[in-house]
Amino acid sequence: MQESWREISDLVVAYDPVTLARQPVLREQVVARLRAQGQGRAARIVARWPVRDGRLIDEFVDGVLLRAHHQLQRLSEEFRQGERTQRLLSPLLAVLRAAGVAPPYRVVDVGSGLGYVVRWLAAHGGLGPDVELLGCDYNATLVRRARALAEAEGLRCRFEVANAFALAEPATVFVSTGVIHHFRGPELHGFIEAQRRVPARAFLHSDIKPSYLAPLGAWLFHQARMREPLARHDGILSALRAHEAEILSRTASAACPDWSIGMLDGARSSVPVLRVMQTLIGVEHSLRAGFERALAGLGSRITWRGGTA
Amino acid sequence: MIAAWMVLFAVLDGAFAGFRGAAPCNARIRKRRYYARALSFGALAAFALCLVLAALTAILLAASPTPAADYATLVAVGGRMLSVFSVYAVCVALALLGYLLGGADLRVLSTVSILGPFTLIRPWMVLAAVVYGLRGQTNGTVITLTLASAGAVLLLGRGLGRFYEQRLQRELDAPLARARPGHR
Ligand SMILES: C[S@@+](CC[C@H](N)C(=O)[O-])C[C@H]1O[C@@H](n2cnc3c(N)ncnc32)[C@H](O)[C@@H]1O
Repeated sequence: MQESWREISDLVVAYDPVTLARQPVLREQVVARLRAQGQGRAARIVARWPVRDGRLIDEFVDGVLLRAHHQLQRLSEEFRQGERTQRLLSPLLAVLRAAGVAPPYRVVDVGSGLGYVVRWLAAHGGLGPDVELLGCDYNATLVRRARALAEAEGLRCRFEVANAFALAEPATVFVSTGVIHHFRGPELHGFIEAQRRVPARAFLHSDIKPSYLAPLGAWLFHQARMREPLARHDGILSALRAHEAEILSRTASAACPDWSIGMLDGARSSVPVLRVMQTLIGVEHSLRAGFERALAGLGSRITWRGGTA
Repeated sequence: MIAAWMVLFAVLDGAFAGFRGAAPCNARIRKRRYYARALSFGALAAFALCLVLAALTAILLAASPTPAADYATLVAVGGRMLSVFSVYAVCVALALLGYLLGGADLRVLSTVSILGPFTLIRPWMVLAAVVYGLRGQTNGTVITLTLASAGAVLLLGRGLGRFYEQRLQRELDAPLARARPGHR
């Protein structure tokens, strides 16, 4: 895999960095870029999409993304992403309360897509009335759909078209699922540093865990569970682009030198079929010891950078 | 007996196909009822398909000069196919038990090692059962009925998937159409 390979979903949409207004994307530019990078299959997928004056049509692109995200949610359900986040979030919130941090505790999902994790937490998380759940995404269509889904079930959570790191009411805790592999090198550093600057108190970023079986597993699952060609392509590429635990925790330590950085399920295993996800954890130093106590059994699966508190 | 087992497997397979088709087409969180309906819809559709195939069998056998011998051959072919289906079914059943009753790790193990891969090999498993069942077979009626049944079961899975995809698309089109004027 070449480091420059990109998910189709990252290339077919563009937003103004300040207003987040949708910007036009020229199909031929995307196709040429994909071809030049040796992503022939991805290029063929995009080359089939309709254009108006050479530009990809927003409604069409969003339709593809919507279907892909519905199929993606099926995988999130199968791999219990809601539960995974909750098992870390509940003890974390308990520690924030114990430390006297003033409520409300705003949990912000960065790149929430259809908001599966946020809506799952609202439905089953039992996080408490002092917790606000907010999903942020740049894509207005996904956000609208997430809102409609939450409303249909009467769930206590919100969704905003917003940069999660530039909210008027800043986050207490950032979470994300399947997002960090989209950021690499200096961008990854910036993504993590932004959270400390907000300033949040902690973050929990779950993503696919790299292993020799991950690409095969991803191929298999996306072939079996996904219908949308974009979803299949991007899903498999995600496994190839998944960050090594060491890279994530090293980058996070550099970006947040005064935080404790840990990794849930980051340890390599010889038969990597039990733990297919890993979670990058960042907490303010002062919260670390209490968090570890509150984690109970789960604590043994976390490797802290620099050892014990 | 063999025929009854075949119907049972077809109905179970239909129920799973209903679930598989429905699952990626509804992003709500609480959807036990939706899943229950998808399972029963798939099972009913498969049962209806079995009735059609039974009628086809009756017609073809009635038209055959050797109906009793043909039926006996058909049952023998079915028996061999069942042996393939049974292995698959037992693996899936065990994985499902693990998924439904096990802890987080066992769930992932069931999903990763059986439930996911077995969805992918299902058509190949059916093909293998057909090849094994029809081994050395020259009876046209039996070959036709076997291929028609196997094909129908696979097509039903596809059809159920399509049905739910189209339903989701209608649901997505509705709010999108309304939102279009303000759409950037
Ligand atoms: C892979 S998708 C999200 C998947 C989703 N978490 C899920 O599990 O279904 C990544 C999304 O992150 C969004 N995104 C990236 N950086 C963001 C930020 N700083 N604020 C809000 N959204 C962001 C992008 O718009 C994109 O839709």
